[in-house]
Amino acid sequence: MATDKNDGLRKQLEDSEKSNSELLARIDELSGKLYDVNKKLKEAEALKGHFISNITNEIINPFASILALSENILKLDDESMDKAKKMAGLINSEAFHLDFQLANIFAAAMIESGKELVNYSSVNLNELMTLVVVYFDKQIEAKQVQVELQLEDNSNGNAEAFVTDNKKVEVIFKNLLSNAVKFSYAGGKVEFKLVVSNTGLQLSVRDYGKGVPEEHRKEIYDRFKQVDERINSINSGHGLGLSIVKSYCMLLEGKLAMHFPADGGTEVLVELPFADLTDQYDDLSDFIIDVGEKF
Amino acid sequence: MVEEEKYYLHPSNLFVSGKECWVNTVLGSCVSVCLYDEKLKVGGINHYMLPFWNGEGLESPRYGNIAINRLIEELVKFGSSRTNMVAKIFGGGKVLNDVNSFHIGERNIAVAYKILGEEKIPVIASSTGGDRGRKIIFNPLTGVVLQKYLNKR
Repeated sequence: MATDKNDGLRKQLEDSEKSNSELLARIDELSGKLYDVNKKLKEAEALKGHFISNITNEIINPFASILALSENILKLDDESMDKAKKMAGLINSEAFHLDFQLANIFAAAMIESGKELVNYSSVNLNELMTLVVVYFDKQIEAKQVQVELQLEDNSNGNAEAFVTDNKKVEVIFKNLLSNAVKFSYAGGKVEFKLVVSNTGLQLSVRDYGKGVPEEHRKEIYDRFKQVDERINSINSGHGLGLSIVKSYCMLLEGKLAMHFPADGGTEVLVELPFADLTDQYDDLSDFIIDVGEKF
Repeated sequence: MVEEEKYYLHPSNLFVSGKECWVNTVLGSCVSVCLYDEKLKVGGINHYMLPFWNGEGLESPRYGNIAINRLIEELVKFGSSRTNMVAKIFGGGKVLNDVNSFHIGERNIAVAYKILGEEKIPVIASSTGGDRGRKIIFNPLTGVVLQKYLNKR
């Protein structure tokens, strides 16, 4: 009788010890997460200070080159058209870079201020895709990267009139293509694939470059984060691109995922739903079950 | 109701104005904090989805701690001071049956009370929790909020 009771108690003790250690493991896991978040917030705080200096370099350096180059063109004699053209080409590439970076900086600032509105209109995806590739023509040519475009329309003509926020999708396309070209090896290949269905679009941008090392994958969406600091010298930018793409995907109620295939490189997947313009909650009379309240 | 100016406030956005207009938004587990300065007749509203920013991605008003502080800052830019502000809190319903959502609604409400408490901004009205969504209409000129419940979806 007494041993029965003892056994029962022992069993209870063992059970509570087990749940105890489970809880402890959970606490360990949570404090680990807390530690990570804490670290990130400290970094974010520090970045605020760096922001001005980061941005200043990105704006001032190209401007300085543009000024110097244009002065040199002015000093050329009338016969040196070839030289002038070469310099104009350099000015163009500096200005292009500046333009793209500024667009990203303003996009990020708008998102962070909470004033980024969604403006729906219909977009011809085929045209947009071509436009974006033409936009990066010089970068693609300079790096001898082969860009393969593919558009598969499984819907009744949605690809020609896809309802979404035109400007935001353009920014998403541009940033993903820019990244893919930037991180490709010279002479590499970039696949830009769009699949359109009746419910939405799926975009896959795949490069065969160096990819992202496993230990840095957690921070790819962080602003101002360039995984390889050494890359900075050749591949400029603030690492703002992906964080903007992610925020836009969320605003458009879509999804963003990244894969790192075993054969190298990076694959970015974006899913955007076909916007339902009727679903703006304007007419909710069917759902409301009581009279309104006033506060 | 005046139909002249009507806005739909999307999640992760905020809106501040001193004019007569109607700002619509629909809340499930999301929370909206409405701030109003009676002296200045300026009001603002946000709409956040998660309580805290985890340092990932952009520091956007998708997160409560960012959205509430930014809304206060925006009102300050309009010339308001914290001592003249009053707050109303809406939303944070338990509309998702998802176990993984970890009481998002409740946590969204809690962060609003915590930050507003720290900033010493009194909460003069609220309609939070429950298991239904809400549609609210905010008038920044008067600070008045109209609310209707949605059928559980």
